[in-house]
Amino acid sequence: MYFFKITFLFFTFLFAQNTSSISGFVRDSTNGEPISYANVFISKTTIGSATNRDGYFIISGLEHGKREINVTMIGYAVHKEFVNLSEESIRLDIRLKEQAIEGSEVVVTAERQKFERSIESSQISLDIREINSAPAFIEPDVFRTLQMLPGVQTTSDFSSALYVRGSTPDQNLIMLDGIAVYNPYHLGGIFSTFNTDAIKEADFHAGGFPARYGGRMGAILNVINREGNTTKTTGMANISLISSKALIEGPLPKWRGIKGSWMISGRRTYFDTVIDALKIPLGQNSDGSNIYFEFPYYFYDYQLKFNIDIDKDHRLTYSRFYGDDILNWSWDDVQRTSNSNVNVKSESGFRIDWPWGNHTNGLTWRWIISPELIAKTFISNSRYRFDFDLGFETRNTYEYEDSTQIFFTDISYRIFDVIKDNTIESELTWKTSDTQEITGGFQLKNVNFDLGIDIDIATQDTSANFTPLSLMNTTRETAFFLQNKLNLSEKFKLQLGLRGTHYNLHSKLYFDPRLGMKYHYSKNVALKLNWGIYHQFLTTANNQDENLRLVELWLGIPKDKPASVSQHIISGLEYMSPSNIFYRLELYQKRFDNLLTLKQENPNTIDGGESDSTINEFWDTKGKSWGMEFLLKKSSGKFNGWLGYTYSQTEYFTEPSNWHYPNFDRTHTLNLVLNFELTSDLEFSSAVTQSSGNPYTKILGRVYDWEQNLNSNTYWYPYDSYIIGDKNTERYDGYYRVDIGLTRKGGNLFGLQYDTYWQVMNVTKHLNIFSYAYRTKIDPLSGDQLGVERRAIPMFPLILTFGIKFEF
Amino acid sequence: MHGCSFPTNEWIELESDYDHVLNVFGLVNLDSGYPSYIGLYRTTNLDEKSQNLVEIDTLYYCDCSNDECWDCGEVGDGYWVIDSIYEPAALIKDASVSISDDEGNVYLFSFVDKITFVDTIYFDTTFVTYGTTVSWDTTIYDTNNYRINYYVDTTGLFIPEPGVKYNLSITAPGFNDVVGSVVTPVLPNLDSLSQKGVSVDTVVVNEPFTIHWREENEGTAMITGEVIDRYYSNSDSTSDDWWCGGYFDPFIIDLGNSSQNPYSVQSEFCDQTFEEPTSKDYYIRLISMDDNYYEYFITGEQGEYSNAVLNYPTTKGRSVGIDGGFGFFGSIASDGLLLKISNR
Repeated sequence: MYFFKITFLFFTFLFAQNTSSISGFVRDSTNGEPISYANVFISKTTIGSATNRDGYFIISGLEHGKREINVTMIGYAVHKEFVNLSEESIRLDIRLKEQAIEGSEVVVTAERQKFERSIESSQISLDIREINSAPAFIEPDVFRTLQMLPGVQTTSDFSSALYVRGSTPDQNLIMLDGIAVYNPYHLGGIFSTFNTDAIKEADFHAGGFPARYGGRMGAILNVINREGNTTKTTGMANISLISSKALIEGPLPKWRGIKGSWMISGRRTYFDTVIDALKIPLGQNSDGSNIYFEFPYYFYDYQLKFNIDIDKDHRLTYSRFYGDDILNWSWDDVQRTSNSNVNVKSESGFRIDWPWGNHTNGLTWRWIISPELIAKTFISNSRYRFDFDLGFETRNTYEYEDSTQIFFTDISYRIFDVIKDNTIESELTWKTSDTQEITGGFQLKNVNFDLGIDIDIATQDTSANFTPLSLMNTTRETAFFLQNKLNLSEKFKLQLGLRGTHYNLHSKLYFDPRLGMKYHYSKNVALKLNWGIYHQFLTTANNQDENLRLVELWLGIPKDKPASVSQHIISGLEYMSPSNIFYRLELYQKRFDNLLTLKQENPNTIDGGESDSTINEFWDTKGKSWGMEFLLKKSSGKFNGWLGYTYSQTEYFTEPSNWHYPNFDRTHTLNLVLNFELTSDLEFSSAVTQSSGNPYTKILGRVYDWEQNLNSNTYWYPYDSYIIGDKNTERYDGYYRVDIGLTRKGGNLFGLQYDTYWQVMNVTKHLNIFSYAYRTKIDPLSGDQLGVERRAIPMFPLILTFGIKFEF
Repeated sequence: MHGCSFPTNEWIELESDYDHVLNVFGLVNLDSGYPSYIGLYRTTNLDEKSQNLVEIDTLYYCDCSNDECWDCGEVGDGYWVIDSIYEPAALIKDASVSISDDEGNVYLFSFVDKITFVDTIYFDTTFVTYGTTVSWDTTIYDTNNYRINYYVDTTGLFIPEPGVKYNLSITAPGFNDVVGSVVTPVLPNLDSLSQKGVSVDTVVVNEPFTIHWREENEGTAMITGEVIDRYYSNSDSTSDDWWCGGYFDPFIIDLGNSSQNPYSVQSEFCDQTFEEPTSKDYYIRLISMDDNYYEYFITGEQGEYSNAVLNYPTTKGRSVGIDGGFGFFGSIASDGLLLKISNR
């Protein structure tokens, strides 16, 4: 607090001039949500500003007198207001009323504001309408929508993980209201963690991000949740056969001038209960009872957000996310046998208890120290937990006439990864003038890792505990950053930044310089250049060849390994047409050093053999990626959407594989997302993706390997193994998918508003190859093995989805 | 609500285009009565047969009305029994193979036909000829012999010793030469087996026991246990010959590590009800192995590539103890205890 007071006095002194400023917030009149990128300007002048993500704006350096303020934003009526400027700075709280977009009326859109003001390359913000625009698998998903943007790739339809410009998902900083989320997926990546009903906006940086972001070298995604309705309590619910979700929001009761809002949302799947209710028979237990098919998996999550405006300068925001995937299954059986001497009871049991998920909490204090100086202090806690517990028990009881003997074996195998991230950070944004904005701050991040394997074995004679893997450490990243955004002229903007991070395991300070430049060739054309160094102090112990990444096993960069580092160079050409269609062409190059690639597991190790416990053994890896991306985006109007094209080449180097394409690399990718309002209550959407196939490792031929039999009858017998070629030198056939959706709005059921939606994924039923299955071809007559055949394992088939969304 | 429809996809045949190399299985066996031998093959293409028929012979017709045929109930009046002999398509027969030691002794190994596998399979009685499906009125049973052919020392001069380095040399027309080396392991000594602290000749099933060995030797070894004729007769659990219990997973020990000696074993539980006391031969075996053998069979492959959905082991070709080809050259020595295992 002392620091802030000193700072306040310092800046008060600096601003003691004969001009005034107008600042304030622009919000939606119906729900109080801040409106980003609204255009705020003084009538009959070129003086103006745009609101930031909090809806805040400031126009400074205004001479005293009466002025008319104009606020415009597409979809809202123009707001005009007279203010009388004197010694005091003026603070406004502006509410914009929604208004249907009029025909060909050209208003300043958020896209144009972003085009004019942003220096950063490769950045895009998606609002909830855009997130929902792409037809979805069962329900809208922010990650699935991001996968339709240039530069973002994926391994398969089954994964919503983001592979951005050669970076793997663990290189992306995924945040929910600024809180890092470590494994933001449900159901092994098929769904993202984030419930779109609660999202206001997703801010995505594919690269070249500024110094205020650190600790990752890939991309940045900050998902901003809604603040909650400040005017009335409202809600919505979405119901389908496999899941339901709901959201309620409303104002907090006012008390002594303190006001605020809240939002709660949640969802749960119920595959488990639906399957149980169907009672699909599988067989019978030894006692004659029926065995039914079970699907003992579900996930749930909920999100909370509270905003408390203590006064006009101080706001507290509490944000919480809590979500888990649960797989819980057990099986028990009892057998009995007897003879004249003994009764034997044999009990056996098997269980899997496997929860994994994220919990986050964050508290933000926003202090408007002066109109030009805003401080944000943020305390957060994020916990990711993966805990796989497998148990097997047998117990045999011998009841003799005069004694009882019990033999039992209890085996428990547990693999777990718990990561706890506690962060405090503070950030000061100082708008020194209309042409300069300085942002600085610090971040202290303590991350506690506990990654291990426990094996417990107990018998009637003995018990033993093995811990083949135990990695526990606490890493601390102490970071500071400073960035200076300068408008050097009407046409030339510059952003310089430096981030320094001290990593405790290395006792070393790493510096990440960042540079951004923008040159406005004309009102509608701009050139951009971004360069930066990015260090990362975390990695994941996942098999890089896996097609399905169920979970991520996180750990800190070990003491004996240097921090991973990447360099981004991005140049771009942007054009905003007079009709607000945005065009962007970008070239990028990335270099990666000191990456860690998990050594492959050997499934053949037998008891007592050397176990290559591979979770903490890595190949040193380096990589390079370069490409070209094109984006055409129309954000407003009845006909909107985007077209994206990516040319990309990514290669990684490891000692055993040399330079090779990673399995997510797709050379050409074309994405088209279109939305069309057919009528006022009928909307059509479509998404088309065509891309090169993902790389895979080809099998060349066959070779004998041998198995042993070392019993009384000793022999070694050969079996055919495949010989594989160089890693990932072949590619699957090209990927092609067309999804369509139709939404009918305005339904009314007993006074309850509802929308219905129909969606068809992979409408052409194109065979997109997930992987190949191989088999030996056998002559049915002679039994001869004739050769090897393969068959494609498909990704998504044609999937039809229907759902209803209620609003109340 | 959801529904889905999958695209069609078919099995397709694969072809190969790569340079073949020799594929070697080389074993120096220190156990008396067990030969050391070299199996020699080549890598094969994906569109290539893995085995070739080398001989076929009609043995006899079994007439169910007159003879004691073992499967008349299913096939009617009788069936033909034929004998087909296959060998690997990749077999190399014309190579020059030798093993030498560091004292300059060279032992030439010669190619010898040897039948090692006998498997009886049931053949489909229908076949297609000139577009017509024919159903035979009798069934043919084929004693499908699989011929594994080896290079062995036919002179009887090669008598390997423990702790000696042996070098392998293979030359085959059209292939790169293969060389290899192995240092033979120590001869292990299995001492005794005890149950409830007492050395026993008969092991009682379902009770733990401990295995003792002499510690004067060092090296890696594996212990196995086997109930001889465990599945004798057939798998009918009511048969007197059926046996359950006694099996345990083989485990690895360090012969010089006294903390592992003796080693306690809780063998497989048997919940069968026996009306009469029954016993079987029970064979405990201690096998020492050299580093190559350990790496190939125990450590296993540490592959460059692994993938849960690729339904087959994958490798670029393993070479353990050899250079110039795929395969391995290793050595073992063993000792055993022949005991009884009883259900009472």
